[in-house]
Amino acid sequence: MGMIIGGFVSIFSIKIISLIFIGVIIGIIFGSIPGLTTAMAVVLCLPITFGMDPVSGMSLLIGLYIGGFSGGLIAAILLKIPGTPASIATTFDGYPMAQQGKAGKALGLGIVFSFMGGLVSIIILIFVSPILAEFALKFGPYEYFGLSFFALTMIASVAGKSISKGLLSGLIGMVLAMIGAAPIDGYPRLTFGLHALDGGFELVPAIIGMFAVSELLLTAERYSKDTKGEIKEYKIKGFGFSIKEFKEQIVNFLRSSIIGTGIGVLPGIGGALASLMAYLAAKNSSKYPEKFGTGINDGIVASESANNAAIGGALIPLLTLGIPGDTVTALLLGGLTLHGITPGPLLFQTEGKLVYAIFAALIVANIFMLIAEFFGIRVFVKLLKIPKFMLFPVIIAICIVGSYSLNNRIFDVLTILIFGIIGYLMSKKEYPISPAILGFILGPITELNLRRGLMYSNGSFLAFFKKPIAGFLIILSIMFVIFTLWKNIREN
Amino acid sequence: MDKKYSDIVTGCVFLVLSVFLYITSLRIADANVSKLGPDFMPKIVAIGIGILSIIIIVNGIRRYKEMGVDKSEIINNKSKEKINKKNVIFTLLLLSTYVLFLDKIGFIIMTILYMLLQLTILSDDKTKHIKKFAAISIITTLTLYSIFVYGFNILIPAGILG
Repeated sequence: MGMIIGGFVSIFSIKIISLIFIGVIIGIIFGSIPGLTTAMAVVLCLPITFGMDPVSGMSLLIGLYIGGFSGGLIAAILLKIPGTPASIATTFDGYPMAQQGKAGKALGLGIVFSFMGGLVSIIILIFVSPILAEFALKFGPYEYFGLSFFALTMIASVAGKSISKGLLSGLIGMVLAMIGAAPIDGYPRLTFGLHALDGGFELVPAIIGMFAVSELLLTAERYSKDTKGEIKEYKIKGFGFSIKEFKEQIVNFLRSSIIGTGIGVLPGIGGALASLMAYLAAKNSSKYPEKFGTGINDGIVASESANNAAIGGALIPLLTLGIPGDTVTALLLGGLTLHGITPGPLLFQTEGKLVYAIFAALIVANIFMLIAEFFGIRVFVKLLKIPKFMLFPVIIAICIVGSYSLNNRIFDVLTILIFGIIGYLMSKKEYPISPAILGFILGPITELNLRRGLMYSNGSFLAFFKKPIAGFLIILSIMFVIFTLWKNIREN
Repeated sequence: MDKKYSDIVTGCVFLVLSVFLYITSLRIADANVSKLGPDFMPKIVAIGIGILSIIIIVNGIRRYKEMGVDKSEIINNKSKEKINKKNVIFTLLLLSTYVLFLDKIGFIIMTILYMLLQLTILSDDKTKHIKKFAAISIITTLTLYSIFVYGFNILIPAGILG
């Protein structure tokens, strides 16, 4: 008990609290600007933490982590460009809601439920980590394959009107991800001898291209430039939504946070999948599924609760097993190692105070995030007043710099252009683009685990079905696809 | 393009794509470490795209037949809200030029040019204030450059200036 209190108290110094606050602010900035990622923010600040003591250093990084993952919702809602991949699902309902003049409400919902989702996962982290870590260990390639295959088929659900087009779009995303070195053996595929393609396309430029550049081209199309994004002038009280609406969302929020934490716990799968699954779960268990995608509260709540819950989830394998869940946690692992700390099962005993300090920092960072973004809502909504045609070129320029800084090569900027054209053409022909990006993300995970699983089982597909979790997910997915396609054909 | 044909055409395009994809993946040698080589997924995805594109073509044909002459006229008129193709092409050319010369001529110059021209393309006569655009372009670019290079120490193409 002494350790818990000791840990919590240790962060309550002006210096550390300020560090957390600064971290959150920087994180939000990086997270909200498409093209700049949380990972980048952590990388940039990591050297600064070298000279600090572990508690201070980790506090700063945690501020960045929390700020970064929640900042993504801002651009997702206001511009339909996900600031981070985890906010893709937020664009589904966040952007339409903003377009209806309710941007403040959308932002408010996203911010509050980001905060609460984060809290839920932090509580789970504090009290249940070891058990969840055990659960994570049980997930082998079969289960990972089942999960990502399931998610892939569910892509059709976010497709909108045409299921076939949605699925096709998802497959196109997978094809785009296949360009480059194949998983496991590294064999170059679809590169046609062009060595620039050997490494494949990076995710962030792909997202920027598909969402931002295609939107730019669509804006260019319109003859009469709407010079103002019309915003109904209305007073935003508090967070923009009512207590009644809040209560309505409790079940959704709890379910989404648990899904988010659960998926965050699985190493290698992060916020993007978490928010997507939560969104789909909300849609499929809702009394009004057809309203999803038109700008309803449920969509935003589901997505944002889950992606912040995934943060706490990702920290569980990191702290208890020393296994990082995603790029950012891998960097945090680096941060810990630098300070001479080895995460793992013994961490709670050997460095108990630090662990509890980290927990405390998480809670404080979460609170700061809430406060900072609350004051920001009014500012953000004003940003919408800037005419789109002026806003977009600036954003594109920032995105391009951000993407270039990923690997210092022009190819990543070229990626933006290529995906932009693809996204534009798809939008024109009424093929949804979100499934394409989701296919791009999920394709490699699916293939990797399929082949790994087959390697374990020596070529036997049956092994996948013998494992209960995996088998269940796979059968469910196949049934779902056949059923929806059949329904689609019949309806037409 | 007429909306009534749209689906049929795109469906055919994807069908061709799927065949192409499948043929390409036949060439992927079995560099085999596991039962399934790197050729498996491309083939499966190609088949998937093929099936889906056939469904889309079929649906497209059905829709086309159902519509008859009157309805298709209505749809055609609706989609004739003028599309400013010129702007799209200009934007594309501008973006391509920007990307291609970013390295050689350098970030600062290219970005200023890009923003200025892009703003000009996108604005209409009422809102076209070239001086204001120039100011915005220059200030934003220089701010971005300073933040990234001096603030974050990230390498940015200097091009002919550096």
